Amino acid sequence: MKQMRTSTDNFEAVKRCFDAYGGDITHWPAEARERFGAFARSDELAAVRLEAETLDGFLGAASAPQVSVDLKNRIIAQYDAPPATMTIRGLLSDLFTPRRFIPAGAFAGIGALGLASGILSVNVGYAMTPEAEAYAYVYSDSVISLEAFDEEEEVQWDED
Amino acid sequence: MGQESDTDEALVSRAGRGDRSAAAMLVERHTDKIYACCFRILGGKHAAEDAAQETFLRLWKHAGKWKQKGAKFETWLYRIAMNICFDQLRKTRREAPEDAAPELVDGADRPDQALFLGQRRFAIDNALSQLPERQLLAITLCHFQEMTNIEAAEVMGVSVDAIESLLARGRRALREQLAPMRENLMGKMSDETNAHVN
Repeated sequence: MKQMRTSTDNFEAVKRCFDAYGGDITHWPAEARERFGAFARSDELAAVRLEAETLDGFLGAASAPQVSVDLKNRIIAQYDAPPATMTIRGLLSDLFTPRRFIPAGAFAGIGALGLASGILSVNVGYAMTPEAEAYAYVYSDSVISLEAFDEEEEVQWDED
Repeated sequence: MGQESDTDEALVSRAGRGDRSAAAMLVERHTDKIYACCFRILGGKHAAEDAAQETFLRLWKHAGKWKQKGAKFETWLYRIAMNICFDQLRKTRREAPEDAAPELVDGADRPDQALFLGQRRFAIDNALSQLPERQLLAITLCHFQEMTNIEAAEVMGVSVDAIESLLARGRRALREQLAPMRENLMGKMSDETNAHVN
């Protein structure tokens, strides 16, 4: 009697799986597949299985919506990059992700070159030719003149 | 492209900081699924396109603040899309299947076959569109989007048992709706198979 009830219970459980998940047993939840897989493939359930497979076939014939390239372009176009709010953690994470190693290395290299060049210029100094000295004078003179002109513009006129 | 570090979560974080290429990768990765899901729920191309666009608009808006709290990014994105779709349905009725008339299906060998395939597709789309929203969503997620029952339950915010019940009820309703034309469709399906074999 107990065995008969178990068999009926199993039949009902497998039928529920066919009803919910369809005729393709590979699409069933893993637990149900393991527990009822062999029974579900048996002749006893052939009619239930066929019914479920038929509906699967109908569902497979429904429209298959295709996304247009235009839609994707519109979605990307509406992406409005937010103002950068870089946190220290974000910055570090960005710099040290594998794809960022190369630019980070390049920045570090440029920084080191700049530093080295600054130190050298202080220590070594520049030997200027007379011609270069003349150009430097004209340049500095014109800067002074422009500054003077600007100051004149700011003069307050006397009231009438 | 396709690096391990390009998880959805990493891309959202980068998109939130203004990385346009990360945003583009998210669009490339998820638009098809989100659009297909909206299409099933809303029943038409234009409404589905609007809903998919709105989904990503909300994503861009929240990307900077997004933090993973249990649910996967994709689950979160589906939830946004579903909320938009159901809001839309509350305002307007679901669109009738495309153009409300069968169309010839491309790729068939013969004109009568193309017509049959179009009629069958129309009948099935129509039957799907008659389902109650939650049953349709459960079938969409599990059958068309090939989610597991656990993933679908997460998206819908219900138990796995509830998903199983919704699926069973939905499929039963479809069977009943398609029953009157079943023999015809089945017969034609056999003809179609024979035509291919011959």
